[in-house]
Amino acid sequence: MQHSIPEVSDRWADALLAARLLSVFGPWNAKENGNLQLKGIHVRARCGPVLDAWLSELGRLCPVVPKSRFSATIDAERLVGGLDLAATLDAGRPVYERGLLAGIHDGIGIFAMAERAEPVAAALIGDALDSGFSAGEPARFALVAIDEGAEDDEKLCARMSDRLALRLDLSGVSIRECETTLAIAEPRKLSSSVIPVVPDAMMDAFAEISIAAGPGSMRLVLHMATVAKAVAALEGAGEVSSAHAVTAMRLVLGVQPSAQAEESREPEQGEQDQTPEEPRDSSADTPPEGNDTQSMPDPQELQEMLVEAAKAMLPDIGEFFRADRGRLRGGMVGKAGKKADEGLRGRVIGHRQRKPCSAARPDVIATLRTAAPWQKLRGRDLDSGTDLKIRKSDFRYQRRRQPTQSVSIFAVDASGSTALDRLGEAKGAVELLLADCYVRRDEVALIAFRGERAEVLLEPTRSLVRAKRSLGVLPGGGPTPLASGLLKTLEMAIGLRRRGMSPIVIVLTDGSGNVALDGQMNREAAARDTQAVAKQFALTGIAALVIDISRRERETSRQLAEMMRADYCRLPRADAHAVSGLVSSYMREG
Amino acid sequence: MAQPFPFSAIVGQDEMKAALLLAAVDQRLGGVLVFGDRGTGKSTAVRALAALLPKISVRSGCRFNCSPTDSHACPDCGTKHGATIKVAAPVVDLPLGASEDRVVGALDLERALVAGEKRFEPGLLARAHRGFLYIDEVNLLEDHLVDLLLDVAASGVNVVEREGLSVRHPARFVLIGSGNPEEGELRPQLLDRFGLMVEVSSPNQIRERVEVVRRREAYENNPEAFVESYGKSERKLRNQITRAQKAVAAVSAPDSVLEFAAMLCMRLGVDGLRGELTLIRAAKAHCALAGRLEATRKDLVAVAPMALRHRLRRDPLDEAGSAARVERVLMDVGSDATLNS
Repeated sequence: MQHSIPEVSDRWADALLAARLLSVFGPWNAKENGNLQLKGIHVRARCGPVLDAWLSELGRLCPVVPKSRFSATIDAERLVGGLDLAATLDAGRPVYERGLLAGIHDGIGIFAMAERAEPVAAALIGDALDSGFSAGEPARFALVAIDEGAEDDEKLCARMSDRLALRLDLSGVSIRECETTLAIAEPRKLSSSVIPVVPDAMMDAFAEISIAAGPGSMRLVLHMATVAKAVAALEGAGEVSSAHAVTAMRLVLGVQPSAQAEESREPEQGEQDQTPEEPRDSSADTPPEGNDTQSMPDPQELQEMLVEAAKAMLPDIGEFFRADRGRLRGGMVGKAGKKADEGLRGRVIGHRQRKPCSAARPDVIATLRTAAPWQKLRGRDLDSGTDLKIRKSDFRYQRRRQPTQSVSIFAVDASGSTALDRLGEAKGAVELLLADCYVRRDEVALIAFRGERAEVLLEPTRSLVRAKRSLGVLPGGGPTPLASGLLKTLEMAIGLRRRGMSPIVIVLTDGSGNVALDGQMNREAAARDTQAVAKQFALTGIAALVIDISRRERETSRQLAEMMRADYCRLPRADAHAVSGLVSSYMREG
Repeated sequence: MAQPFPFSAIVGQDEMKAALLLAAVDQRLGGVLVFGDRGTGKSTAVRALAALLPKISVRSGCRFNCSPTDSHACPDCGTKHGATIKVAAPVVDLPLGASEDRVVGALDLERALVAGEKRFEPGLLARAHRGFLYIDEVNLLEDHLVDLLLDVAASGVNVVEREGLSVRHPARFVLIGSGNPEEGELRPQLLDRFGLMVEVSSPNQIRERVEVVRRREAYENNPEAFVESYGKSERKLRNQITRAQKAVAAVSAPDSVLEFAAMLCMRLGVDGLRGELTLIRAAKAHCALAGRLEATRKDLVAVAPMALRHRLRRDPLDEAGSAARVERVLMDVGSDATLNS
């Protein structure tokens, strides 16, 4: 029994439980389980022995289920299949390639580096998960999405994560634990095909928790109900008990009990397949009876208890989901290596032999032109035949160049020395630029620095709705952590550039920082740090503009601009219209 | 394919359901834009609508869904006349990231390579003719596709001039878009093109949420039985749509209703006439759905928020497409009008 081995952390126990749940309730068993099925697990883990151990455990639990591993670099075309051009030419008849999604029907798809999935691939996978079909063929599979995202903005996109019922976080699991438990978990067959019932009060609690999670998806409630039933069914229970529900919530939310939760709820720490005895927390005064139906606390109490349990797991569930709602844009993280001239759109700048991207079609005229001189050599009878001899090497594809998207990052000095109204104006400028954005399809971000450190007030966005929400609360006053403001801006700019966008940095400051990177109020250290960061700026060559907003002209901001190799301009009365006009023209000139 | 979740089994979301029904009654309304969070039943509703729509008659072998009464409308109909058959009205998905070729159609590479024949392979626009074109996450759609869609939606004809092909075929469809406003705004040109716009959110009542889950569970446990249990209400709704589709052309709007519409648009500062026309058309469709033949002010009031909320003049410091503003003006105009009459 797992609980007899104290070293096994809850995290690893949950990971094993999730694997076991999937092995029993995978879509391939849907018929036996009365359509109770789990469609996937969102695993947050870096590549390493722990992940390998977990995957091999999953493999051991479902030995006969076909598994297929693919990664984010996969072409959308491969996922759904299509005409295989080269094979068609060779064979002289249409040769179709079967899509990968249809290929893993009744199996497990292991999607590595899922956080880097292209939006198109994510949309195709999400659609197949929903409908069970891909390109007209049955594609009912379980998806194990491995999310290696390190940064906050590198996450599995919501389009996929929203559809996966279980969530796991393997970070922090030690190698030793995985060894200790490998021998324990064994495949189990569902003892009866009767689906456990979720009591009304429990369903109410799930609904209440999902409402607390914010105005998000209804799928959260569905996932909690499904997983609760699966957990109960695994034990052969006829009704979902509160312990099952708590376990289910933990698996769906993908959290570990926090310290405060431990006290209130230690009994069901990790184990599900121990006794069906009821672990209870706050309602300890209604002890479980040994009868079959597992006497429940009264509905009201049960509902409150579950909601409390959820709160204990996640003190601020709303915040958790706001932060975790995946990357809102649903785009892919990091387009490293993808050049701007390899798209399907834009001006034609020439031809090439290799397919620039999977969706590209050969340019018919250019292909014929390449093939023409070879016709005689290839044995074509020029007088009678109409058969063109075209080889794979003749194919030519158009190269196109498309303009890259620009993002303007505002770094605004919100300290006491520049006064609140500057921040207000910067905010106004951001909104004005945004209002303009749908024309140019550009994005805007805002970083404010004051007090001890810099803060990202607005992630790059094109959405007015979001911008207004983030800009609503705007702090101001205090000392000037210029160095940390610049550093944060630089990090964001580099990140964006990695994603294939062109960042433009606009710094609104008076140029005099007095807080060093470590948060110390030390003018000299602050100046040193600022200098160091500014030099890095210069090295990366990111386009930047320093707007001096001090009332009296000072040398500091001009020096800063020089160090950053940035352009400099002075706007002592920085008003929103002037700033947005200036930035607009700056962006147009590029 | 599995049976979709029945339309009448969708809990709440009354405005979205109403808008979709109106669009099904009058195709010329210009489509529906559904904005809201993920997982609020947007796609479910659209797929459910597909199962609800009355069948259309086409010539067999026509890849362009032409009506048998149209003569020589498309390249296929020009060459052969198949028997008239009834098929389900198309509801075509436009996947995010679809290439231009797939949308407008292109040279049939397979035929070109194997048989050396120059043949046009119809795209999604041809398949959507006389039906619905559904774009999930419309705000993430590539610019060039948006332009293309706007052009075809406005003219009702798809003209393809590429790869040595020259083809034109009818493409009249109802655009249905859905998206999440937090993921990016829509260009006003596209916004205006949608006849109706509704905003959806997940229900914030525990009861309603539980009901959603219970029905979903019942559907997943046994789709056939669940769909069957809603068979009666689905048939009723389908008959209602069919009747309204036939009747809508005959619905009249008295002058007082037209004046009311004009006043409403003026007060709200709606640009252009498109808003006013859509408002009246939607009111007529609403009236036809109710089985009446003369539109009243009540019809107008019922459809005003969805017909106008996305056409208010854009103020960067105001929420985009605010229904509250429409409601407010409705109240004002309503009380004025009662005083005058």
